[in-house]
Amino acid sequence: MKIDRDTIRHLERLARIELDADEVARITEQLDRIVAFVEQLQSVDTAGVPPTGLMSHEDGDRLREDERREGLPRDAVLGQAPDATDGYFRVPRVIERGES
Amino acid sequence: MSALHTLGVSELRARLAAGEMSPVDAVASTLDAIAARDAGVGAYLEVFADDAMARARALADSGDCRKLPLGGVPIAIKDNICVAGKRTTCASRILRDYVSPYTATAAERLQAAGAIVLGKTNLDEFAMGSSTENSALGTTRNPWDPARAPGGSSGGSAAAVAAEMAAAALGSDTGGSIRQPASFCGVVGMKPTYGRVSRYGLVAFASSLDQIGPIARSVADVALVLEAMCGHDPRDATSLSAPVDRWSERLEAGLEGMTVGVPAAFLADMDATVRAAFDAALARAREGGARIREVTLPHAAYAVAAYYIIANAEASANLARYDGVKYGHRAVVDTLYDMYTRTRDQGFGAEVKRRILLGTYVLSAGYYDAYYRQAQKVRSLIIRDFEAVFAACDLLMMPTAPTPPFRLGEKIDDPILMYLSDVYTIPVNLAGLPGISLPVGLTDGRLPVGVQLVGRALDEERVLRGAAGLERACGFHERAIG
Repeated sequence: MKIDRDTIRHLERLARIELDADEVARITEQLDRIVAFVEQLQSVDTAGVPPTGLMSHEDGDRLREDERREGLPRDAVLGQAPDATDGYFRVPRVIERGES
Repeated sequence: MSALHTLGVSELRARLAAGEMSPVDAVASTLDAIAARDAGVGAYLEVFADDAMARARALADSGDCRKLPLGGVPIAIKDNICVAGKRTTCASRILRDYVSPYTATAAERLQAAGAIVLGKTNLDEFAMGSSTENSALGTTRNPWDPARAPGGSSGGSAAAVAAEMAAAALGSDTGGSIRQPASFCGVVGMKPTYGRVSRYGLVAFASSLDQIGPIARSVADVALVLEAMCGHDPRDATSLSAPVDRWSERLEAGLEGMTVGVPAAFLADMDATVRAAFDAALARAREGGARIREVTLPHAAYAVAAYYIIANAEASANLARYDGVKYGHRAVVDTLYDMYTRTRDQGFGAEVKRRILLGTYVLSAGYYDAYYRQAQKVRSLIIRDFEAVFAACDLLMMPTAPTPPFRLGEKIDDPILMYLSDVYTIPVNLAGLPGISLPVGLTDGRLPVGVQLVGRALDEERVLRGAAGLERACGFHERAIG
């Protein structure tokens, strides 16, 4: 599969990353080579082989009891936010004017 | 007392437990070494001199230092592992000013065992790289040759230990990020079994692969640090409940009676200087009582490709959290969409962007089955290869990296060449197995070469015991100094 600039533009939107023009050219070329490199996996016969997702070397239920626990203090968490007001994270307007 | 920073964990502990020295002296001597040398190495991003001295004094006053397993031992921590009240930057512009409100379980357990945190060490941004050159916050140089890379991504931790600016350090290993820099810097580094050490407080890169582990100057020192931090943690659902032994007390028998597999066909492409050191180490292993057996890992050649799909798919999801809302850098713009895209453009470096985009690509509609699903199936085949080997062998022996330490700048413009630096370490992460790198010799140019021993899942004991045997047989430290 050939990676071109349109593919990169699509991936930028999906990943919420904006590249400048120089970066687009460089990353298009590099990702094209990386994807060509990983194409070698297509030649492996995996018929009937189950995929490995999360792995564990121990059997059994790994979930804890569903009980209430203390989290981090709100001030400690909001203290790291670039913008916080009245106990909330503050962000640019989410709903555009006239959309309601 | 000026040379106390040269002491390893075991020697320090012997003297501290006997009351022959104070943790204040150990910490002061190590801080002096950092002040004298780190300008030329660049291992640390931040040093907590006052905190470390205060902690040393408190330990000395309380009398606990003599009893605690790591009492008074000065350690460094990779800067993707959280320590409360300190910055955790991941060597990224996006987290440059982030201060962690809590401490990682691994660091907390070492502190509870008496270890004293000296500071945070440099890494490739978000642990993505093999040379530490992807750090946005500074260059780390190999203490053996300042023109060369320390390896990565835990390059700061390995360099700090090699230059005797810490007795031990924590790293993280997703595809070789503890073992490869340990090999490049002539020190010992271990990635335990997936799940042995809690990742609570480790900034996530690829969650099915990430594992914290120790770096130190001897196998016994690595064992001491590892056994102090393993074990179940309710805050990490992937952490295991398997019992943790005192591996440091079970090293004596060495390689005696062990069957060690060597996957000769998989190792065909190593550099001639690495081959010479590896073959010499094999001969020493045989003299040390090991039976050497040729084995095959038929699918290991596909591991790097499978890894770059799986690790980056997981990374693209894990790094979605850096959105400029909750913490870290935010670009100031008018709309939410632009805030996300500009924040991430300004905050992430080139390699991180490349990996997020690759991960997004292999998970996107139309490509998921062809790339991501296929890579997960190849992972299963690699796991089966190891199971077949370990039905007949106790350990597997390989070089840690295919080359000695390369020059700074040599591979940074060629991502695939850089990725292949981890060709021998990546399969071990895909199978979740314990692996250790230890130095076995020097090239003619006096650069260290490391060898990797890999064991069965949860068999840290044999991995450490075999490594201790190989360490004795190779006598690296005596020859390196002489």
